Amino acid sequence: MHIGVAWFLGVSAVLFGIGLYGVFTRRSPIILLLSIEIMLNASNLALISAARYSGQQAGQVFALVVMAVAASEVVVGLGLVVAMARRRADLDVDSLTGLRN
Amino acid sequence: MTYDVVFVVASALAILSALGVVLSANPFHSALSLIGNLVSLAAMYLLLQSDFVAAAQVIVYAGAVMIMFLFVIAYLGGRAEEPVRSRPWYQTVGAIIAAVAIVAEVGFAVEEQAFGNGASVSDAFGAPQVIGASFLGRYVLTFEATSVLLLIAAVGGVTLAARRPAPREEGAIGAFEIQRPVTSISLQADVVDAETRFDVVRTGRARDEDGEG
Amino acid sequence: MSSFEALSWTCLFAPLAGAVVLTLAGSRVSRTFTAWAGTGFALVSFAAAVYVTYKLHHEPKFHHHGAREHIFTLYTWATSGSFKVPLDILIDPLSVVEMLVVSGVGMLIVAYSIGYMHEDPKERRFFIYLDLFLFSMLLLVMAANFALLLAGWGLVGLSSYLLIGFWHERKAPVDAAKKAFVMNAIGDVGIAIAIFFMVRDLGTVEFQGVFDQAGSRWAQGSETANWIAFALLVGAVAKSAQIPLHTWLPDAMEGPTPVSALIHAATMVTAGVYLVARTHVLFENAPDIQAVVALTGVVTLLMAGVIALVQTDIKRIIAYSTMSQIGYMFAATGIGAYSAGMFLLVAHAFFKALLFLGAGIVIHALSGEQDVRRMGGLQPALRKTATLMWIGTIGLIGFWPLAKDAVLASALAKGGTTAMIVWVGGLIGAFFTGVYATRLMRLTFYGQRSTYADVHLHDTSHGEAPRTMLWTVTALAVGTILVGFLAIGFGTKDELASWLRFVAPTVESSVSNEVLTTALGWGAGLAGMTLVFWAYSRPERLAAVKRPLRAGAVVAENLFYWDAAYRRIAYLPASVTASALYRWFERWVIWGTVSLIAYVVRAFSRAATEAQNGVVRLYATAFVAGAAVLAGYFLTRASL
Repeated sequence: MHIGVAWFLGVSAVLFGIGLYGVFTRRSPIILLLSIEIMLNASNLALISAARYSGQQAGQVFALVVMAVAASEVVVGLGLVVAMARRRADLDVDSLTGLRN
Repeated sequence: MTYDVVFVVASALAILSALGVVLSANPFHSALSLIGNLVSLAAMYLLLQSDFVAAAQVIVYAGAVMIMFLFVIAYLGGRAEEPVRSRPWYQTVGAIIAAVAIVAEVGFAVEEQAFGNGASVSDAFGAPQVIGASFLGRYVLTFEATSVLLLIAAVGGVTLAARRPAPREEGAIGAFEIQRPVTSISLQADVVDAETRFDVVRTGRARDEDGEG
Repeated sequence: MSSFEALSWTCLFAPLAGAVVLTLAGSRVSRTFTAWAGTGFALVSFAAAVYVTYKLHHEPKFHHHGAREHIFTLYTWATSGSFKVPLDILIDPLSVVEMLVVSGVGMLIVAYSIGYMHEDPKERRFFIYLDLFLFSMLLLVMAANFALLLAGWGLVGLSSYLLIGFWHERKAPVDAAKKAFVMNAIGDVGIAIAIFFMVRDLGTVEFQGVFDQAGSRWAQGSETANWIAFALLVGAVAKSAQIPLHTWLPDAMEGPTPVSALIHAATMVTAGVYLVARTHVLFENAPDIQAVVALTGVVTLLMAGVIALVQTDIKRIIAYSTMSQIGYMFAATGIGAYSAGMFLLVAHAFFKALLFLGAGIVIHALSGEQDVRRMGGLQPALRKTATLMWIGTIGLIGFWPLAKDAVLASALAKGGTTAMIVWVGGLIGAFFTGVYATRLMRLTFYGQRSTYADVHLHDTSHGEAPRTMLWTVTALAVGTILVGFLAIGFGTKDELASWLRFVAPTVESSVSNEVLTTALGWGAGLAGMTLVFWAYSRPERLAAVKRPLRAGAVVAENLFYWDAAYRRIAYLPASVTASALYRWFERWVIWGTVSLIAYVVRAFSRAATEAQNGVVRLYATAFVAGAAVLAGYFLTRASL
């Protein structure tokens, strides 16, 4: 059976789901960021597949931009984690209930 | 034929390593699994003739970002591990259901399309020259915006992690200043709240106001 | 609108205006002002009634539907298709008699209350209620259709409830008021049922319409006719405290004495008699029921007379006496002697009010004591009162006015089983009346003055009682004597009977009947009086008289066990059912449902609050879930 673009998209979906599970389930901010990375990579895969399938460069460009954004986001997130650790706060996202009404 | 084998192996590795990320107790192991995931994905990009992206993935992602992660995990040491409190069963189940739902929907959507063969592309499809030409040609605005974003992120990261010289008198309240260890922190800039924990004490069965019963 | 009509309406609405005005004035006017103003409104009503009677008197005396019967309509109160109920009043010989009695005696009693209620801090409310009552009673007697009659009927019941329970801080008056109201309500149902028949079969509730068509629509003695008459009888029996719906009247003595005089002697309790007299066409259409009316009257007059013999509360003696006298009135209407019954009604209004108000003076002088066993020898101190009450006693026993004898003479003249039962029973009752009435006077005013009286008797050197009280009682005494001239009998012109000829006819009796009956009646009364004076002159005689009657006295003291029976039959089952319903249905079903709803709402909101708990992961989950749902929706829609 020929591996078509549908397979790549399927793998992308599965990875996305796994990342989603991680986001929902884990409480440590580090692991949370890692799960978000998985999700971003999954969408990158989908973009690249679409680019290859359609023959347009835009998908690759988009994927590169996503990578840059992911990197920025990781920087900020890890900065927050470090700040939290420095304040001796609990590294547990469930304790951060400032949005509570 | 090789194509398919590589695909199967790479996707299997990707999925397994992703599972390793989300299921590991040790954050160090999770980070390493993610590196594996990134490399598998780079392999899949190669299958899709996106050479430059694959290379960038390895260099930037696996190289720089993950190293940052590892540094922070090392810095945090034991504190990076997840607190021991058990989570309620419905959270896991709900997460699984949500994930499966997304996957199923995507699968559903994808199945419905009649994908033919992909477009035929030239060999220069994923080459750096072509990407570069796009960035400086058609997508120059995107390129500039991304640069600004990276700048902002860099500044933000430095700001967040910087050590502030704090006046050490009691009662002084400044941004991110606290006098004592608190159980949680509110990330609003001007107010420091002491918040209650997540598992709020249930107020119990409310006593009937009428006094009857 | 002619002055005749205007004053008719004034007679009706003046007391209502008084009640409204005084209610609105509230405490802005002094208590004394309220008392005199309340009396003033009643006086206006009486004056209007006098004028109306005078004008009516000057009209030629045709048969009804001609002169001497006026119907004034204010507006159409209710309509339903072709069925109309107008707000109209009927001015005819019978209604003006009632109007005069109600407004006249009523005005005197309201005036009496100025003195009697002087020390009561809540007396404003009393006068408002009195005016309200006068309006209700006038509405009842002036109504030209059954619906308005029922409205007045109910309002009178309400006023009675309010006035009996006037001293509502105490339990006994409140219970008595409830009892009166509930038993009256049974009567209201009776009248309502009769009205239903009229609406269904005749399509009208106007007196004229109903009386004209009744005979042709319902055959005499037919089932429908009997039911209608019976339903009306139930109403009359409840309102007039006849057996079996009589137990509320003695308890109603918890109200202030003017209330007892006005409502439970002179006016409200006689409404039943008025009803039968007014609707006599319907009763003659159901002769069996009419016989029941007469027999009810006889049984009541005898039983009440017996009970009155053993009562120790001065007001209760008079209350049972009222019950007994109304029994005579029922007996009269039961045998077709309507105007004789009305004559007794009018005379009774005067002398019974007189007796009550006189008793009120005695009670007032003894600072509230009502037990005759604690009285005695008061005559030297309360001379005028004693004399006035003797006039009332004479009226009660039947020496003058000759009202009771008129009734019994008609019975004798009519003949037939029912009438003869009435005649015999009435004469026996006359004996009882003589005994209990004289006993009342003897125990109160004569003999040794009791130690209680020695201590508590007011200083009467400045007059036995406040002026308003004495003057009104005197007026009633004068009225009692004058009323007697309305129907002397013995072949002289019977004014009242001829006045009421077309509206409430009577049974003509021969002179010989009258002589015989009067002689026997007087004799029975005198025998009773003599017995009392003889027995009470020496204690051993009294004991000798009382000993053989011990068993009967026990029965009488227990009120012939009516109250006990009702308690077992009606009160206890209702009370048990109510408690059970409260414990099981009210608590669990009703209250349970309400609190279940509250619990559900609270639980739901508690759950909903969790969505705002500040945990970002939860928000993320919500995002994804929502996105998944939306995506799913669009996907399925696209594929369909």
